[in-house]
Amino acid sequence: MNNRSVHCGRYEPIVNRRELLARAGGGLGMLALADLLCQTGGAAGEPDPVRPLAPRNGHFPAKATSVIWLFMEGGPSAVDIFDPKPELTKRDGERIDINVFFGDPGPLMKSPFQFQQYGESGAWVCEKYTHVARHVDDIAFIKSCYTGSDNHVPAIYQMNSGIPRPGFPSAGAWVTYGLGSENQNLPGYVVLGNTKGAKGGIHNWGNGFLPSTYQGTLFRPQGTPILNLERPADLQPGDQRAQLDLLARLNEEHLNAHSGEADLLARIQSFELAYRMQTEATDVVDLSQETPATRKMYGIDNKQSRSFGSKCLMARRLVESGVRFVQVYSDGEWDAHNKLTDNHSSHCAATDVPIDGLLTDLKQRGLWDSTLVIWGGEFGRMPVSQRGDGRDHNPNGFLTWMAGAGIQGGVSHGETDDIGYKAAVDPVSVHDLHATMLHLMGIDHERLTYLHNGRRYRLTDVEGELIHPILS
Amino acid sequence: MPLCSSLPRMSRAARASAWLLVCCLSVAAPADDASPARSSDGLPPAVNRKVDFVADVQPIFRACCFECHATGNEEGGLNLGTRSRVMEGGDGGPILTAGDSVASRLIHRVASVDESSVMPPEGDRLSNEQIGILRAWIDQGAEWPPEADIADPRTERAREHWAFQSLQSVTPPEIDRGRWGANPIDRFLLARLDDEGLAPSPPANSRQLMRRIVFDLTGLPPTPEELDAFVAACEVDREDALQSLVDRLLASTHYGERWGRHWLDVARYADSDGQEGDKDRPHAYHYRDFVIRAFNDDMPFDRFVRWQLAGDEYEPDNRAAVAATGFIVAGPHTVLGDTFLEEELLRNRYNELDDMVATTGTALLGLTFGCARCHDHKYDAISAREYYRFLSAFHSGDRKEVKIGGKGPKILAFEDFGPEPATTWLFERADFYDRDQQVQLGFLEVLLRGTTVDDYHASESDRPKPDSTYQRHALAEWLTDVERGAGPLLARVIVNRLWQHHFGEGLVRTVDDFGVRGESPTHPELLEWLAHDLAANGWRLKRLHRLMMTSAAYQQGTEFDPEKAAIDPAHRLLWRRRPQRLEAEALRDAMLAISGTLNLEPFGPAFKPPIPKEAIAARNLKSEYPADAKDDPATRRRTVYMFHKRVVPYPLLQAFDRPDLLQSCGRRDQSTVAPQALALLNDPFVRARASDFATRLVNECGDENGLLVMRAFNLALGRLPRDSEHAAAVTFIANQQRQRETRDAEQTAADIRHAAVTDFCQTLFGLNEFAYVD
Repeated sequence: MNNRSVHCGRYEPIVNRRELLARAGGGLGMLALADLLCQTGGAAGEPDPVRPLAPRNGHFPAKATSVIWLFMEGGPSAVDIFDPKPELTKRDGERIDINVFFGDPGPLMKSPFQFQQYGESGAWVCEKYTHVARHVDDIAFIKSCYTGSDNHVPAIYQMNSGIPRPGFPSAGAWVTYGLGSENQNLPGYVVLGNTKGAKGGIHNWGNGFLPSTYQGTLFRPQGTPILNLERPADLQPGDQRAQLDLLARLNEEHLNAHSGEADLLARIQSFELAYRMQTEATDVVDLSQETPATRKMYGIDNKQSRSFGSKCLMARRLVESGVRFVQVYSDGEWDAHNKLTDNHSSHCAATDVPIDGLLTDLKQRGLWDSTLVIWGGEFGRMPVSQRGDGRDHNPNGFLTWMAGAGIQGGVSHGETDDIGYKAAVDPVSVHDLHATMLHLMGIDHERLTYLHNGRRYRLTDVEGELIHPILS
Repeated sequence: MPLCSSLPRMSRAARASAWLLVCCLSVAAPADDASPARSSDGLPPAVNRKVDFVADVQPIFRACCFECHATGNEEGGLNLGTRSRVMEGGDGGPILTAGDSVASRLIHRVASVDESSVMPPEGDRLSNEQIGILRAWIDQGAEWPPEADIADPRTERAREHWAFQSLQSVTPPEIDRGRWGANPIDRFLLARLDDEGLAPSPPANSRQLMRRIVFDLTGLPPTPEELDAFVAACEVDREDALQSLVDRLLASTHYGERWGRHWLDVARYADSDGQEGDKDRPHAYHYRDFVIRAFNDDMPFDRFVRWQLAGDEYEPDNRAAVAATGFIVAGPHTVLGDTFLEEELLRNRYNELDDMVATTGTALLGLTFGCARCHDHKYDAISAREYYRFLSAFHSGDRKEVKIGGKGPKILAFEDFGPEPATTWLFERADFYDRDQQVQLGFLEVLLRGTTVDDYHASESDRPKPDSTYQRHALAEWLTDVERGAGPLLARVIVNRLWQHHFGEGLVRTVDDFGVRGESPTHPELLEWLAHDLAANGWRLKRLHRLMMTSAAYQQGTEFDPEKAAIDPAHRLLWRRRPQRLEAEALRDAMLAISGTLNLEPFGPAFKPPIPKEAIAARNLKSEYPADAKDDPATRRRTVYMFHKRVVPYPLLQAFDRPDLLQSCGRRDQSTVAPQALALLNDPFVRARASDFATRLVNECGDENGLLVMRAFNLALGRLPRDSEHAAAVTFIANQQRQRETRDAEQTAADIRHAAVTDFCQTLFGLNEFAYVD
């Protein structure tokens, strides 16, 4: 496994210089020119300091303008959901030589679930995910993912930022840094969190060393969605309007006396934006504006799927309103160290109908061709049993799928070995997932960079290959 | 020059060096048409004179060949840096036969007419003159004095890099122009302004000046009474008033609270572990208190540095010295159980050591060490070997809660495991299973001037703590050695940090990067003069504060001038003062101070202010954040004493760009975003302070709104309102009273007025003038 736990974005294998110049196409002068032109790191140049979230073009036309990332926290098991392994069933009970996170590995354990093939692609899906199964011909399965840590929090950090340590910008922060967002009255990067709280906390959607404008904003699923969106109890909208008017009035003379400071005008505008945000953000999470049929489609009528369904519906409303990047965390954890049947049955039940609803809704609202949907966890689970009926963490092989804008449906890419232990065919790293996601958004992952403490960083560190077979 | 990343699949190093090559070639002589093109042997003829290797030959190698054929990048196995390697040749065999240039492959390659084999492979060819020099050198015996060997061109480049030079004694320019002639700082600045045809701005008025100085040194607003007294004193003797103000503030505890906070950013200090469990560190605050006291006591900065790295080895019985080592262990930390895979435990251990190395490098030397964890630094002269030799200083110990002599409070500190250094390896590509190459403590070659690591080891008799390796002690001695160690760079970096906080930006804008990729200083001689002054005068920072704040440059007004801005748009030459935004801490402290509720109790365990439940987004914490924290006097202390829980940051501070304290941060972001406005409009803390401010005003001013508005402006902004402002404010309060009367019929008139005044006070907190100090 790759041991490099942190990297700088500076070192790449030296290629032959002649070859390199031939690739660059323009010879030395061109190279130097390019060097000068690209000193800014954002996709289409440096963000406007006054409107840092203003939408900007990427490096090339985007397939996807928004992302909805369904983050299955805890690590769902591929062999029990989308990637059945006959060999594992056959060798059920056999002991193998294997290293696992918590030690004391049990024997190989077959999946407790039945599988069936769906769609023209004939993709296998387990009996617990029959609604998601309807969409397999629109989904590209990546079955050979691997990551760097088999501990939850470093692995979640890595899935979010490419680096298994806190303090680095998350993918959503990179994307909004590169592209801004369509709606200036809402944050560009919204996180609909795990109702139980996030392992590793806010650093999962942090801006790291990027400007703080680009950090993810955690929306609460109920009540007022953002912190400080609610007025103090004794302030009515009219009071606040009057305060803002007085503020503008008193700021005016100061502004005139400080004409050289662009910041001051931006700050005055930020108060007006905040005022509008109070209405718009409250509105966007108000699911009562949706029909009962729509709410049912997302499983909101059902106790088991209500929470995740609400977040999926909110994600659609956010994307529809022009939010660039939405992350939806599953509730609790797919972390089935024991009683895998119960754990995965319950998590499937919580997410199956909502995901079906989301995919269906995106299609019928014309958002399918502009929204990239990602499903996956921070790692997968072991083929051997733990505590009799569970499975331990497995960073060596796990499954992620993508669907929607720019994705070739009905594709299966990569494989783990016969028992689902390690990525064996076309291994896909977290950097590869990130590179592909950025590519679909019109960003060259090698060119979206930020200079910090003398190093030019990027989301994909010094790695990342596009997963071409899943691109449409 | 920043790195380019627009060309896919291309080596960054190659890209940058391609740029260097452009520079080099553009100054190299074009093909020499005057000399005969080719002689009978088909090669350009040797020049007809005695050539000197160092003067004539090596510059050609350096400009045209080193990029690919020297240490760090030996393409084709060829290294032209040292004589022995040149004589070895490359993968294709020897390249040079002394005495016979026609038989030397080197000449045939540079003189080749075949595009695919000529060296260098792209860019301009060597001129006939240059080839002739090489031929003559070979024909004359290929002499190469041993001292001309270049082991590594990066080291050579680094040796020339301004930041790595010995400290120079610089004489300020001779300029005498009234107020701008007395302070050496002004003479340096004025010389530059003169060069650009820029004139400095007139001084700020004494009221603005005091507000600027008080916020700058203490992070608190001056009271109206202090302001009035200062204005009066200035009318008598401005210079004298200013001197005594600065002296008074430097002697106040609040100075350390303000400037200690700046250092705590650099030290990435927080009160919890971070990571998943984010366990509280109830005994970490001793380090924070050490920092504040050190600033207040004007501890010499070299001792401040030595104690932070090895205080326990210098003075094992001194609580402050031991607490100072909290610097090393202030970063994030995880306790992994024994059940974790060995690989995970090792990765965690070396990540934590990397944090210690990286923070030491960035905080003290302004150098990015992190790159060298996996490979030799591509630009700065930091090799992977040097990284691991440096890491060795921390490898023999770990964080520990200690009691001095078994007594007193527990202190989070760093301690070696014993007297024997732990074995340290050079991990190729950071692979911690690669244990072929053992390394021992060592420092950066480029910052050693005729010394070796052995010169810094304490003698046996000078080791009051026998169960410690004294490796950190040696490191600290080297770091603070001005004559022959890293002292000059240490001085430049801290002087620049001070400058940044006083003037808004460093003389070197990349305050955490003084390497070859960092920005050059705008006023190199001034920086040098300041660094030299610091080191030559006992490393006292207060002396520098005085120098900077009594300069005319510091005291300029803020008035903008578009014509000057056209000459210097980035405002790097300091022809005026730019308003400075209050950081998160100063903003919170100012609201408390103005509302009359600031609790000035210094030092001791950190306080935990209330954080809304919904802002505590984290799960699985080993120490939960208390749900019942109160907004009461105990939580109305200065922000530097607030408990900073890494995974649960205080929302108001987070909104206003407080760094996450996971890595060293010398320069905060200054964002302007809607969540900040939302906080000022709706955060319960802000509303509560506005309410306290209203209470104070009503108490002090009685029923008269006109008087109340005057007092409010004076307290919040340090000045009285203009007539138009006064009228607008009085009207606002009256309107709010009327609005509230109509809807809250049950409230008393006093309550209604209080609420209306609160609305007004909260508006003052949102003013640009409140957040930006002129």
